[in-house]
Amino acid sequence: MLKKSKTIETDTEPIISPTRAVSSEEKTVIGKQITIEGTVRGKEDLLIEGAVKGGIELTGHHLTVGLNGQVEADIQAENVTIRGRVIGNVNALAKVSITKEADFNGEIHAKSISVEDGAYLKAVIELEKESQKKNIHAIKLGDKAASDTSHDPASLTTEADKAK
Amino acid sequence: MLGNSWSDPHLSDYTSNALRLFLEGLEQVRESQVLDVGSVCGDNITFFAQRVKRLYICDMFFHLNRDQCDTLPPNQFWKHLDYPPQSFHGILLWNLVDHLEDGEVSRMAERCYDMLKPGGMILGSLTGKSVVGTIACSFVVKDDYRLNINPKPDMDCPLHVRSNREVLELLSLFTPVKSFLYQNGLREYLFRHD
Repeated sequence: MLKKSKTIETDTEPIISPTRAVSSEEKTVIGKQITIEGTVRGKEDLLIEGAVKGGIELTGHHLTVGLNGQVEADIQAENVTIRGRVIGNVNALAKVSITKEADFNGEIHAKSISVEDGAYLKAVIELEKESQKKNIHAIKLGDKAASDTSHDPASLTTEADKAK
Repeated sequence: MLGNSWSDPHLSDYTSNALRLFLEGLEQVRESQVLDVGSVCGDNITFFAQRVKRLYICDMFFHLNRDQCDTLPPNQFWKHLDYPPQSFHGILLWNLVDHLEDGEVSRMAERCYDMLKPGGMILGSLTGKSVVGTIACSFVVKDDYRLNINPKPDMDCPLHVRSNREVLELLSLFTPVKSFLYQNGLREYLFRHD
């Protein structure tokens, strides 16, 4: 069932467009028997126990894919918690949390990530790094020699080399 | 084989020289891409994701275990490593070799050689003859290059004990960079794609 679905819209057909403010504690639940195809946009937290295929945009809010959730979508949210099955790319402004029951396949871009041992991931993970930004900036400005070699693959002086 | 060594921190916890060298090598790369084929471990993901540009996770231990349960043919195992050629600056192989037949090791080595960029490195471990090598295990990265070896008794994977020579022959596509033998009997290897 779909509870408190005040702010969910899809590309094809807006479900409900509320006019009143939504409190930060409210959460919409897409129940086990619900399947949505299209883009889900909202301005409150969302729990998916059903199936969503397409896209999910929850700017500034928390998306949870529940244990029964089946999502094939690109996801944008403040925080994302994955307990169910997700195929797609996740872009979180803050944190992505993946529990041990999760089955995730896709890319994750976030500020931070937590993963419980036992989860299944086939993933690419890219965390936002402030220090990395600064370093890259410094290299671009100052040390041309360093930047010229920065794409070189890692190399080490080895005992095997010495033996040769 | 000694008794229960998992409770002995001197045996199940050690400082990994290979990991240190592996990471020092990656520090020379601006936007490093690393593949971890080990068991999914939150500590490891956090550790490496903070140190590389893009961390790829493909839990081959999970597939190995599941595929065995599903009685899929061994060649299905490799379909999961479906990355383009020269994708990675480093591959964390951990002790996957311990759980593969010789032919599978060779296929994995070919796949890794294809996926690794020239100059890229592979970190591998062998628990085979060590005191912690009686059952499947995973490696958890802690501070200061320390690795904690965790038993995974629920994993049903055969263990193949190999000598150094056998391992070097099976991974002969790569140039051995350095190897280490620890007090707990565990061996670590660092290989390079030239």
